Formats: sequence, structure tokens, C-alpha cells
Amino acid sequence: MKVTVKTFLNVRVGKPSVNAPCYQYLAPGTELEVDGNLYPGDRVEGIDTWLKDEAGNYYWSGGVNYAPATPLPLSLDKSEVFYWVQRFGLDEAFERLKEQVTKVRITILDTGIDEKHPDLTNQVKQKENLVWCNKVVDDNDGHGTHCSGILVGAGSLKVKGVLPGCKLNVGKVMNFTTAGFNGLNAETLIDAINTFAPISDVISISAGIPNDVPELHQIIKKFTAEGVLFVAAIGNIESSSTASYPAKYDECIGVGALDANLVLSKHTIRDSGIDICFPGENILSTIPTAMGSYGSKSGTSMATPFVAGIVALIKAKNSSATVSDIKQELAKITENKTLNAFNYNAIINKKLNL
Amino acid sequence: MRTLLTLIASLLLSWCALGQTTPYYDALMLKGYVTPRGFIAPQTKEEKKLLDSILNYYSYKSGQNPFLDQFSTNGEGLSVSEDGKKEGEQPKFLQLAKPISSIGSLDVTNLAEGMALFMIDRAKEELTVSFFNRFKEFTQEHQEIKILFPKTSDCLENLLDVHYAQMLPALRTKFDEDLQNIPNNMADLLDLPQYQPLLREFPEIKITIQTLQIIHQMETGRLTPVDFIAKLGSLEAWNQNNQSSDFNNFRSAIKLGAIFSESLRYKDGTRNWIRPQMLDSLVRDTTCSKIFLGLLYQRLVTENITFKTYDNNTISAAALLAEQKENIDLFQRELYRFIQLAENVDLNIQEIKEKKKKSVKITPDDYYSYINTSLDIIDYSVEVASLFNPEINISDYAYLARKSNNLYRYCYHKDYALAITTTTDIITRFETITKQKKSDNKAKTLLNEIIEKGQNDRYKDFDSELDKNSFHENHLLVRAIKSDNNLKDSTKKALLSYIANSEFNKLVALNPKIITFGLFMAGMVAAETPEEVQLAIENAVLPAGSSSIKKKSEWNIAVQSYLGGFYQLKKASQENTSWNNEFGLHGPIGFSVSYGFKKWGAISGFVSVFDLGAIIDYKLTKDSVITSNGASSGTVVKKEGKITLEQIVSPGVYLVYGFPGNIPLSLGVGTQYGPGLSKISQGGVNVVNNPSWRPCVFLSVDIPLVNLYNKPR
Repeated sequence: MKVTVKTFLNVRVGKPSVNAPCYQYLAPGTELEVDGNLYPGDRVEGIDTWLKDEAGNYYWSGGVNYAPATPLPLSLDKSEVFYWVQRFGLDEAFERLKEQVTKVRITILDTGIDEKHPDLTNQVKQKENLVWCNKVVDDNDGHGTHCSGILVGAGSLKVKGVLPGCKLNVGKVMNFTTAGFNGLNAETLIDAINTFAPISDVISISAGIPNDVPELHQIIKKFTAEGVLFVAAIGNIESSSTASYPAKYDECIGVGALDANLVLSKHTIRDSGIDICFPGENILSTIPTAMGSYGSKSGTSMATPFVAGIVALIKAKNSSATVSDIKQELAKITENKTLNAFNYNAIINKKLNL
Repeated sequence: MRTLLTLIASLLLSWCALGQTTPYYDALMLKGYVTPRGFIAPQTKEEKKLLDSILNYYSYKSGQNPFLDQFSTNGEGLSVSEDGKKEGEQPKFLQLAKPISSIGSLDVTNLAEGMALFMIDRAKEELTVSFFNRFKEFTQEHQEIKILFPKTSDCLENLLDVHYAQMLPALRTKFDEDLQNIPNNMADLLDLPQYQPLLREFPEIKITIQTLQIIHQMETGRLTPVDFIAKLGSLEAWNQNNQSSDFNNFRSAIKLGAIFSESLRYKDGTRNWIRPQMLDSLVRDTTCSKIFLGLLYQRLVTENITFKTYDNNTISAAALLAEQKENIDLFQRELYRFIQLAENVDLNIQEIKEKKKKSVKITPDDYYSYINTSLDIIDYSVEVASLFNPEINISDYAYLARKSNNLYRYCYHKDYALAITTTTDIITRFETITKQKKSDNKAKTLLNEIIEKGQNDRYKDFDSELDKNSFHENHLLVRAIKSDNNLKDSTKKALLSYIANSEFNKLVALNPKIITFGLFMAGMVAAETPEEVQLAIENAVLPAGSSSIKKKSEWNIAVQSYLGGFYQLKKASQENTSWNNEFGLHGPIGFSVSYGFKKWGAISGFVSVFDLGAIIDYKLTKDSVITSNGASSGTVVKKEGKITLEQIVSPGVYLVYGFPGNIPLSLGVGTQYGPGLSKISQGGVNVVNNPSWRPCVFLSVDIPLVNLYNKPR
């Protein structure tokens, strides 16, 4: 793929490091052919990803522009986020509502985000670490960055999400996804909602707790009444506990996952709290560059940002839409399916038509 | 990625290198992961790996640790990996090596030599040949005594070949060496082949012996105290099949103590345990304390330590700890107590090291302090279980462990008298344990069955033979049983166990003599003046409390004396006979035959031969004469003349009742033929030549001189 040099850029031989040998530099505007992958290397101005050309020379990624050089090549494989975006007409809806959707305030509560990821650069609006105040929201797990890529991945390099390039509030509510010692419980969620709901229209939560906590329910009810829309993952069978809250609350839009064949995923717990199922298996999205930049994940977590994106589009179309309006709108694009006597609503053939 | 792996590897390695495999260090580290909200939540991937490794090391399971669960959260991200596992779930991390033992060893090999220099040569000819001959015979007759006092036995072999005045210094050296080495000699004694079946049956005895041997390793510097406790907890004998709840409790108590001690181990070999100041950071912070207890709890869960309660219910040590979940203060207090004891050990070690460094001579006292404080902490470790629940019964075994420790302590401090009584206490407690198990009865039933069925004529008189046989003969019998193909394995096992029990009972029966001669040896070693040497002999000949022997025995024959007052029932007709007093002091010496009623005292037939009453009367009078100016004087009256045999011969017959319990008084009634005794007074000597019969009752102190025959109950 081609990128355009935006500032004087040294050519580093052999290593993505400022200490690697350098024999020449490139002038701004120079077009450069690179292999399309990001390599972790020395951090310069907060960016530690590098590009590499065929000859093995490295270029600091902060010194290039991606988008103008070449349009994003999309394979449209079922693992690609944009495959499903296109499949259900979300890209068209986005194009139609592009202006309005930028006004929709979206928040993701997760493990944090890699703000410097090429597909997510400059997209974080407000951020806060709710696990440990005054600490950074860096994502050391990958889950939050993955979900963010699905929701707002700009597609600068590889991942283009439902709302490409949109701004995002990020609340770090857990340090890692594994239950136990990650900092996520009802108290953390309540804090996060209290912090972000006043500045959000849509909140995407790809996490949950196993028990119904009245205080959490109350706070969700309160902000739902104020027009905030909560989209939450219903939980996976593999979870150490059936972490179904807040998804099970009526005020939330509970999300289950479908497999690539649009059948209810084996991972999704069978629960009446599911309002909509969306593909969520083997989704390739962004992960922190230190972990390899891209990776596949499965689960209701992955389906949730897709649905949050849809909810944001509906909200863009109808800024006063309540949760019941949203559910009605979702019902228009879903079909009722049955698997082993379990009934669920899934997006199968219909496209979002806003 | 390689950098990341290297970083993780180096973090883990540094974790190991820093010795962060103890709850103390791990708790401090995890404290750094506690969020302001009070949850443990590592931030970086490396921290997460480290946390996972630690939790994996302690086999932590969510929802099963009342301490650590307080720091966990129940929320989670809802993605799964491609293989269907929960995303982020770590594979079982490689088990980190258990703490490496044998660090910080201290060289104390010169100790034994240093302690052996205690010698004095001021003893005189007061030692009696008869006493030493009896001692010699005793060592020759009993193999066990030869093992318990090997050097003394060798020395006594040649006793009569030389004058014992010349022999005495050497003998005292041998006493000292044997007494000092009693813990090891005792271990050797119980290691004898005839006790092996018993040791197999009662692993607790084996453990006590091994305890003695391990302490010896500590003494010689091959083992540090912290490793000692760990080693004690991992003895193979604990794994021996034994259903006894007491044994189980003891095993659990030791293991619990080992884990407790291990949890506060210092990170490198420069000391054994952490410093008291270091404990502050753990104890003053309740969060840290809870994490520590959580990790400790996890170790207890992993080790699956259980206790039996008095009502025979099983309760895990982890559950006991959990019961005290709200009682953090208790743990904090006890942690301080433990570390204070530990600090004493480490200070002693440091002192010895410093002295070595400066080439200052290390005294036995230095080593005594070291061993003494080490044993204190071992004692404490064994009793940690009772902190959680005072109703846990480990009394028998804790008693044994304590006694074993004390034995070492006493030997180091040359409290040999206490060492001897402790030795016999241990043997007696072994007997208690073996009797409790009633295996003897089981073996006996089996033996009777063999005899009744006529399975093997060879064992017809087995029972009585055992009592008569010497150790050597019984050893041959053991070999014969082992090679007897006609016997079933179970029968062989029972017979061997029976022999072992029988041998053991013989050993227990030797206890009184071990005490007699052992205390004599102890007294001799401690004696620094001729008077003290004499006193040591007198103590051996007239052991305190010996009057109670006849009460506790069924039959007893002894050379006996009484000292007390009499009341004459029928006054002599002539004024100038020897027995013209209605009241008086008497001191007959003769022979007694007694039958004991245990707590109800004893009845004796006493035949007097001599009576020293008048001489004793004189001695007492002399000691209390008041001079004219009121000052006491010991030499106002001088005895004149000589006492002849006829003046003390006084045959008589009495029926004597010895009072119950430990009261050394007797009430007697009988008659005695009065001697032609010189009556001595301040006025001079008045020889009375008209002996006569005197029927009287007396109330006297009971003083047995030598026990000639004793049949225990």
C-alpha cells in the first residue's frame, strides 16, 4: 500500500528504531510503498508504530498520511468488520446520516483504548480510567481497542467500523477482561455511567456482571429516562459467570452474537434479555499496536459495538428516539429465529433503512 | 514480541530471585495492585501475568478464599478466544519451584567440642564401690542403657581394674559427654531393630526421633531454623497411613506451622525471617494483612490440611482461618509474636557470624542462645493451630515435640537433671500413645488364635518367653518369625508388633533406673565441691520421694529407716533401763516388706536391726544448745567416749502404715528390744547397761535406704 510522507522522515535500516542506521530521508509529499503492516518500535511523539518497505527499511508511522495515498483495500471477508457493515447497509446509512451522526455522542465502557492506533488516531474525545482514577486509559488487554475498531475504526489501514472516524468517549472500567482481579464490578459501572452518561447519547458496554444490582439498575433507569441509550452484551456461555447485567435490564438493549452463518452463536447465553443478535464470531478488528495491531475475537462483546453503531445511526436520524423507539426500529430489521427451542431476534437478510 | 517475552520472563525471574514465593513478599507486591476502590487490578500485561502466576502458585480459586475474594470483582469482558475459552484466561502457568531450602546455613560444627571441656577434679573417695558396681551391672544387663550412655558404660567396664579415685575424672567426662549427647543417643536407642515394627505402627514415634535428628542437623549448621520447620513439615513419615485423629492433628499442626513460618521467610539467605520493622508494612495496613491471609489461606487449601475436633468432625485449616476472617487483630498480634521470636534467632545468628568474622571465640553460651531461641520458634510454630481453634487436640504429640525440643535445650544448657527426666518422660509418653492404640491387645488375640489353632508349636510359650528373653534373644526371634514360611504375613506383622511392644515395655520399665543413674550422673557433672559430690551420691542412694515407691508398687522389699517420735505403751519397771522415757526420738534401721494400695498408702512389716535414736537426739540437741549470752553455739557439748555396736543394736518388729499420697509419714505399732545405749547429755555420758523390751507406737518420717526388690503393679 502507498502512504504519503507528511514531514521530513528518516529511512531506518533494519530496525524500527531511532538508533538504527539512517542514510537518507524523505521529503514531505513523497509517496512511499509499504507492506501495510504496523511494527512496534521506538516511541516518538507518543507513537510507537512503524511501517516497513520491501527492502526492510522502517518508517515512523507518525510521519506519514495513510488515507490520501490509497483507498482502503477491503477483502470483504466475513471476518472483516466492514463485510457486515456493508452486508446490512450500515455504510449506506452512515453516508446518508454522516453529518447528524457526528453529533451523536458515543461512549464505550471497556478495557481502554490504544489511542495511537492508526485506525483510531485522534478519535478519542473524553476519557477516564474508572478502575484507577488519574491513570491512563491505555488498553493492556486489547478488548476495548477491538470493540472501538468495530464501532468507529477509521479504516486508515485495515479496520473500518460502523461509524468510521467518529469521535468516541472512552471509559476504562476494567483492566482486563478476565473476571476476578480486573476492577470491574457494579460500583465501577455505576461510577462510569455517572461520569459518562451526562455527555453521552449511546453507551456501548461489552462487559457485564453476574448479578442484578438495584443501584446499577436505578442509575440506568435514570439516564435512560433522560434519553441515554445503553447497549450491552448479554454474555457468553464460556464466561466464568453469566455476566448478563446490565444487558438484562429492560432499559438496555441486550445483544447476542451470531456466527458467520447468521445462526445464534454457540457462545451466546440463551437469555430472554436478548433484544437483537448480530454477527460476533471471529471478527478481525483493531488491537493495540504493541499486541500486533489487529486480531480476531469472538463473543457477544463483538456484536455489541455493531449494534451500538446501529443505535447511534437511529439516534442520528431521530435525536429524540427513546429506548422503545430504538427497539421498534431494530425489530424492523430483525427476524425471529428458533434454535433448540430458544427464540431470538437476529439480523439476517434485512438492511438498515434509515 | 520478543522484547515483551523477555520482559515477562525477567519479571518472573526477578520474582523468583527476590524470593517472592512467600505470602509476606507476595502480599506486599499485590498491595501495589490494589486500586483506590480496594480491588486488586493489575494494570499492565506483565503485572497481570505476574498476578496469574502468583495465584496459580497458590492454586487460588475464585469464590473459595474469604480473604482474597474481598479484593476481586465479578465483572468481565464478554469475548471468547477462538478455541472457545474465555478470552484472557491464562493457561496454567508453570509451577514455580518451591522455595529452595538450605540457604543461609550457619557453621556451628565446633559446638560439640566446645561444650565438652567442662571438667573438675575435686571429687574424693566418697563414692562407694557398691553404688558403682550396681551402676555397672545395670549397664551390662541392659543393651538400651549401653546405647543411651555408651561412653559411661565403656568406662564402667574397667571400673574395678583401677582405683575409682583415679578413674573419677575420666568417668565424669564420660557422664558429661553422654548426657550432652542424650538426644542423639535416644534416637539411636529407638532406632534399634526390635523397635522397628513398633515405629512402623506408630509413625509419631518415628517423627519424634527424626525431630531429634533434624535438630542435630541444625546444631551442626547444616540446617537453618526456617528450613528445619519446613523439613519437619515434609517428613516422609507423615504420609504413613495412620487413622488416628491425634496423629492427623499433629501432622496438620506441624504442616500449618511450616506454612506459617515459610510465609514470613526472608527473601535471601542473609537471615531466616523478615525483620519486625518489615512486618510493620504488612500488619499496619489491613489491606495488606488481608491479602497476606488470603495467600496463606490459599496455601492451606492447596495443602489440604485438616484437623479432627473433639467430637470427631473434620475441619480444614483453611476453614479455621476463614472462621477468624473478621478477627484480623488476632493475626496481626500473633504475627508480631512470631516475628519477635524469629528476630531473636536471627540476632543470635548474626552475633555468631560477627564473632566468626572478627575471629572472636564462640562460647557454648552463644550456641545455647541460638538453639534455645530456635526451639522457641519451633514450639510456637507447632502451636499455631491452637490460635485458630483452641479445642484442637494435639496434646500428646505437641507434648512430645515440646519435650524433644526441651531435651536439646536442657542438654545445651547442661541442665542434665532435667534432660534425664525429659528423656524418661518421652519414653513414658510413647508408652501412653502405644497403649492408647490398643494394638497390643489385637496382637495378643492373634497370638492366642495361633496357639489355639496349633498353627505353630514354636510360639507356644511365646508370651512368657518374651519377658524372659534378652534383647539379643528376642532379636533372633524376630529373625525367626520373618523367615517362617508357615506364618501368614498378617500374623507375622502382628507377632513382630507384639515383640516390639514387649521390648518397648521393657524399656519403659527401665525408666526408674534411668532416672536414678541419670540424675546421679547429672549431679556428678554439676558438682564442684567434695560436698556436692557426696550429695550427688546421697541423692542417688536416697532419691527424694522414694517412700512413695512402696505405695505405688505391689510388693517392695527395702532397707528401711524411720526417723520420728515414739510413745511408749508400757513403761519399763526399772528406772535405770534404757527405755525409761514415755516419749522420745527413735531412728530404727532394718528391713521392710511392703504391700502398696496405690493412693491409699502402703502397709509394711518392719524388722529393726539398729536404732540410732539417741545419737540423732544428741545431734539435734547439740545443734540447738543455747549459750548463756543467748547466742547459738555448735560446740558447747563435746561427745565423749565411743559408741559400740551393742549400743545401737536394737531388734524389733513393727507393723507400719504409710500414709497415702506423697506424705512421707508412717504410723507404726510394735515392740523393740532396747540397746545398751550411752545416753548423752550436757551433763556427760550416762551408760545404761540394762536393755529391755519397749512396746510403742511411732509417727515417723519414712526413709527407705535401698530398694532390694520391687514388683510394680
